[in-house]
Amino acid sequence: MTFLSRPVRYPPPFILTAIVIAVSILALPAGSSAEWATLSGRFVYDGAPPVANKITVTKDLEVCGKFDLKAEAIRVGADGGLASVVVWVRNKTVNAHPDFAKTAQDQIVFDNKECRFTPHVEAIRTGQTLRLKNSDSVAHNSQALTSANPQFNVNLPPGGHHDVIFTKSERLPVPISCAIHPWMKGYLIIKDNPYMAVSGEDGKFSMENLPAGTELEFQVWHETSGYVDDVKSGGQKLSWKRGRFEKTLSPGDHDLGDILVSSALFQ
Amino acid sequence: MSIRKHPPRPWPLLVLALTLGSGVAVGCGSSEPYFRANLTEMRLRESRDEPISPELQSEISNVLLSLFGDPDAPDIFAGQGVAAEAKAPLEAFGFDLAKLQLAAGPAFSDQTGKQHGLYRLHCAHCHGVSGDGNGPTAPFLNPYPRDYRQGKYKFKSTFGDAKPTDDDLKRILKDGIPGTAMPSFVLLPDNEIDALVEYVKYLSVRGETEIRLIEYVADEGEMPEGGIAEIAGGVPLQLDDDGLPEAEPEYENVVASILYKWAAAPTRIVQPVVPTVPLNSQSSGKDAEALAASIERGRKLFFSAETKCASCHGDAALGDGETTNFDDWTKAVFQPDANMQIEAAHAAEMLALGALPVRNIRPRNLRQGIYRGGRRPIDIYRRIFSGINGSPMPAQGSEAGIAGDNVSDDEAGGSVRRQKIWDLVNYVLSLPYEPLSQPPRPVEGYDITLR
Repeated sequence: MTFLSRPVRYPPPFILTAIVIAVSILALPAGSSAEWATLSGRFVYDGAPPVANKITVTKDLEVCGKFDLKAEAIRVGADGGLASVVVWVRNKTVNAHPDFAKTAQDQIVFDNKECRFTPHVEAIRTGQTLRLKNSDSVAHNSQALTSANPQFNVNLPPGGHHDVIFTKSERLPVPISCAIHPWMKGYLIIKDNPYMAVSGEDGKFSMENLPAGTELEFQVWHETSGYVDDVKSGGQKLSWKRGRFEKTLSPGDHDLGDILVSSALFQ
Repeated sequence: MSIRKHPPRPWPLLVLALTLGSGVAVGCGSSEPYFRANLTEMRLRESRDEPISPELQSEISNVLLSLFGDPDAPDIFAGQGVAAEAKAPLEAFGFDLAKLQLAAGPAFSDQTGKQHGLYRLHCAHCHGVSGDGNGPTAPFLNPYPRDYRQGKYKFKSTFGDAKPTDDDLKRILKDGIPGTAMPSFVLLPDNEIDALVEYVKYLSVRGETEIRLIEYVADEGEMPEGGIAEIAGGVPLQLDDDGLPEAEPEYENVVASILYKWAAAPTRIVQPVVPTVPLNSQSSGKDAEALAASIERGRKLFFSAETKCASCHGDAALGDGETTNFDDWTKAVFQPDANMQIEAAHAAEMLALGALPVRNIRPRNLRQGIYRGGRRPIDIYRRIFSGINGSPMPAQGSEAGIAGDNVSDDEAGGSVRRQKIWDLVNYVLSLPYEPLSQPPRPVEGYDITLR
């Protein structure tokens, strides 16, 4: 058996059959700390903002041609605010605020409206219902390329809808697209902890009811840059490896202020 | 295994050596075939500031070697280890080792005439030794051969992203895929077809495991803490009396959760509703009127705002409605922007890592009467109901509607009532017989000389 001369770091896995790893990802029962914090900030595109490409409407001109459609891969507001930056808490177990239980089974609407996805990036928890909705007078379809959850590609007639419940956390936001109108692209961030935020048109984000006193690991991502790992805050360059930073928050509000995201990430 | 010591050098090995592009020592013994690492996946997922290190890359390949062996010996660790009851991992995964052994390794026939190395004999030149759809002949084929590593298959009886059943894969092997380079292997004995089906599943599970490990390592910067035991974990799957898995393993148990999807495929077969209209392929005189009415309803649906079939298949169903899109395999690697443009520098990088040159996907020209996933009405029903996994073609039905008449239309959901899908089927099957689909006849009176 010449094969054994190859490097084998792991023992032959004859032990596998016996081992089942049970991973509990669900929130720990609320208890000790009843103090909560809010983390907010504003992402700013650090550099000359790119001009968003105009979409060449190739389909359903009589409907979609009416809208001034622009590529949404990088959206920078008038004052430099960078939209669609996604922030989430990586901790496997988080002591979630009891209020989140009330929204645990909410319906989150992801609309196909004016030939684009609204919102462009949607955050949803496992167990909540994602309502894919079509508010346009033409059919759309929604294809989601998930990793952990089943992928789907469903047709949505005008006025139609389709409901999906995700059961597993996705490591990174997953792309969603419409094949009929290929310019339509959006993202879903699917996690089983409720701590997700997406920066708005002004670049601002806010994450409320975070457990205070716990070391939290945040991860920051944008669809075009991938991990947001090259940023400046208060004139200081920060290296967020793979878009991660850690913070232990005291109760109350914490504003990170302006976070300048290097334009080099988007080249 | 004395016979293995002198395997003939089959030509695929030589070709493999050539494609490795080393240009070194061709002719004096090609290098042993090996599973190529999924370099594009690594590049796409790793972060700029901290790429996947060579150490982590070799850890991934070591895990894969331990679990799946190599192209010559999937059972490389069979019978080893301290425990007397040691099992080859593949056996624990539920693979039939005898079948895998028949399909793996170099191609040769032994003294009894038994054929070995079936995969390399019949498949590897297109689908590649690693099952990456990137064998030596792949660049010359259109469409490209299937890359099994994403575990994604187009032509099957199951809904949406569900895995194909064994019977689905057998059907593809026996019928081939009309309109593509995939030939029919109907002349192979059943046991060889079975062995190839098992081997394709093996390559697919291996490839998907690799992608999941890359996904993990790229984000975490380390291998899973639980090591190989966690990665495989939860095998063998607990099966019920029907051979179906009882519970879905955790996503962290990479191999087990992939195997689960394969084992659960039979639960996701699309059963159509019983047609209330005569079907195009079995029409007789007295049904002609009902069939014509069904075809007409199907035509209206084809051009309707609900289904939007014509949007991609074109106003004349020539498959020319949407020619700028890409399939999932291409999209994932080349990442087109909102105007379906691909950045040149990114494309060059992907090509350098071994990706095949980018191509658009073409919606089917429905006037040719060539149906890749089969031409039976039920095949067309399933294509329309389920969509085509891996392609932009969406599902008109929904998972709830797969149980045929056992669920009501209200429960079944979907964008059209399921009986209407039969109208669409009838319309699609009628298209090749429309005058527009027939080749033009030579005009009488002209002297036409054939060249």
